[in-house]
Amino acid sequence: MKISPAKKNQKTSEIPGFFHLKPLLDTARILIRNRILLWEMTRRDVLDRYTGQMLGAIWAFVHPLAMMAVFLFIFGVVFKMKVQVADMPDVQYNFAIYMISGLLPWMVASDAMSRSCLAIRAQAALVKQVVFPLEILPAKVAIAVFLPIVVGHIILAAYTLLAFGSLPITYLLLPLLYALLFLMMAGISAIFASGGVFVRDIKDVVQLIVLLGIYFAPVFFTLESLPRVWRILIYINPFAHAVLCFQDATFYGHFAHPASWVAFPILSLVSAILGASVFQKLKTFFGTYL
Amino acid sequence: MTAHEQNDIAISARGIGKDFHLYESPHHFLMEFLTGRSRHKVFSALTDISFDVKKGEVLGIIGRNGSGKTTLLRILAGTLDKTAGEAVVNGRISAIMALGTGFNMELSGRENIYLGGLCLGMSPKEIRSKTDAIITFSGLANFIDRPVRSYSSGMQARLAFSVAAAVDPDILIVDEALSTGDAAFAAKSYGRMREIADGGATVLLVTHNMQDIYNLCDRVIMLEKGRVTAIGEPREIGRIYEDRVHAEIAAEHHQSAPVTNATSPEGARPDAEIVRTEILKTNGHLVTELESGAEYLIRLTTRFHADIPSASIGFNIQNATGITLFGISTTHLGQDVCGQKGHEVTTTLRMRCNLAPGTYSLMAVIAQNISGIEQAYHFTILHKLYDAATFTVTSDRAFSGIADMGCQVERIEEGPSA
Repeated sequence: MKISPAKKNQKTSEIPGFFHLKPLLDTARILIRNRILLWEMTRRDVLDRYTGQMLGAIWAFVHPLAMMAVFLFIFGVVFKMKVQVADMPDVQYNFAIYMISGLLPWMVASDAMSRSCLAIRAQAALVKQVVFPLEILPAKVAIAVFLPIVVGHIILAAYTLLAFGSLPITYLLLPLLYALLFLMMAGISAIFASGGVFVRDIKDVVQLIVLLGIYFAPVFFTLESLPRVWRILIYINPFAHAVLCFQDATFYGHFAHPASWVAFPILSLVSAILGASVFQKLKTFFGTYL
Repeated sequence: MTAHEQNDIAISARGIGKDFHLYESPHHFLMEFLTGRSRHKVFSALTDISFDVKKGEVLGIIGRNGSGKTTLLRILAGTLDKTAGEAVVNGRISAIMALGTGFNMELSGRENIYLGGLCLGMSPKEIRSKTDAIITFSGLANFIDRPVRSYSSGMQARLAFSVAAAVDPDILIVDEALSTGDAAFAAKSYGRMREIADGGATVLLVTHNMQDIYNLCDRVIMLEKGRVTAIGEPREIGRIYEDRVHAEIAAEHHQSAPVTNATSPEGARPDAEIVRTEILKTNGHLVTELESGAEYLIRLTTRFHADIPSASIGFNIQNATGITLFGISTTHLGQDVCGQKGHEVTTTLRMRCNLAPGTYSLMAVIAQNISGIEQAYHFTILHKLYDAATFTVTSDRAFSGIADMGCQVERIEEGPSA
């Protein structure tokens, strides 16, 4: 029996294209059905990286804290960067809060991207030998990377309380922002994880994105400090909208960037749908190419 | 297919085919994906595989290395996509493919039982209630809290099997996973597989050990170069399979015969040589397949290139692993052969074949008795011909081991215990 390639694809997958809602719903159903396994694997993912080490999971906190301290020192102490916001006069303290507000979501994004490339490739044994819900592999990466941001926000809240005696009411928006950021990163992780099976170079592309991406988001500078023409560079960066929304929640205390509050949910949903579609389409081929 | 038949069938495979696309370089896949232009060679691992497996059946899959056994199992398990055909699988699958399936090496055996159980679809409650039984079955109680990386390959296989078998699967797939376990554990595992099958579940088993196939399987599929070449009774298919292997070994020997004939490094002609080795039935017909328990004649033809006043002619029988099971010579039997230069001598020995089923090879030897027949240990080998003949043995009697000792039940008595 001869089957042409076009027909063959239709046979192995019922998904019509790379952008469809059904794969996302299927994926969600699979993840919910296997939620205990997902939770257990995520827990292992966080803890296992440090098993057998003396300080164990403490390293999970040392790394992000050290990174924050270095950035604070360079940009706040050495370069004496300032944030010009009309209704907030106390610039010294505010720069730290401003920078960390933007840095935390970016750390989640960069962590998720760099770890997702190998999420499936490194688990070849599971893919080939066990009847296993593969959706868990990118999903657990997207969940595990949230540990530092939660810790970071607790520290940030404590610091803000100490410095100002009150917290912006917009802190209440954080759960919503977490959910949106999770959707965005789960989608991107799924794409990188499944792409990484076929194209090894993806991890190098991602390294480049992680290295440069932070400068295309208003983390160390404010959007307003940029000349208007250059702001387009920020606006086309999907992560910049995430950064701006988080800054609104933990620094500005109001919807200072309404455009991003529209763009971020839309981009997150698009990322999740696209990621699930690509993943469901490619996952049948993992076994062959690993 | 009616609803009733559907209920009875655990696995239904129809025309399954699997082509592997071989790319010279990984990015060729991407190029093909983007441009639609073919950039690969096709390797057909499976072609038109069709069969049904009933619930409660143990199906063995045999075939040489590279015949597609593992590919087929992976397709049925769902860890590999197929390029043609249809596979309907009814029920929960638990698969053990090769070693240490999905274990996290850094975690302890106990943690791996939990994680492995979740991976195989058990609920935490189910796993907790079964953990003790799994540990007991694996026999690893003393090691269970150590990291799996410290386990030997056999221990990993034991743990993998114990977890997979605890799932209460509808379909259990075992791919040579037990080849590294020891015999005691293998026996225990086969017992467990039988239990699973008797409970109405289906077992698919790949092994190279024909004895396992005979002991365990209800039906056997034989694969050759990705095609089903035979389906049927284990004994029947096993015989076909062993014939094929045997034929291949024989062909190999035929090719290498001139090499084995060379007796001395210089290639000088020996004083006597074995020119023909034949195995015959007592009625004089040549055979390559022997029945355990029957009598056969071994006919060794030797040619003398020098006068040998007292020669000894005999043979050794070796099994597939090279162990000599039996050896005899005319000197052992109290007779010697007097060879004259330029003459051929045909020696026929009668023996009863009491060997277990399997493939054997016969080594023919001619030696010169230096001190006459009384001192049988004092000899020089003139010509030794390895694999002078190869043959298979079949048996109607069920027994284990390498030889049939002809055992009968004498009596069984019962009484109150002392």
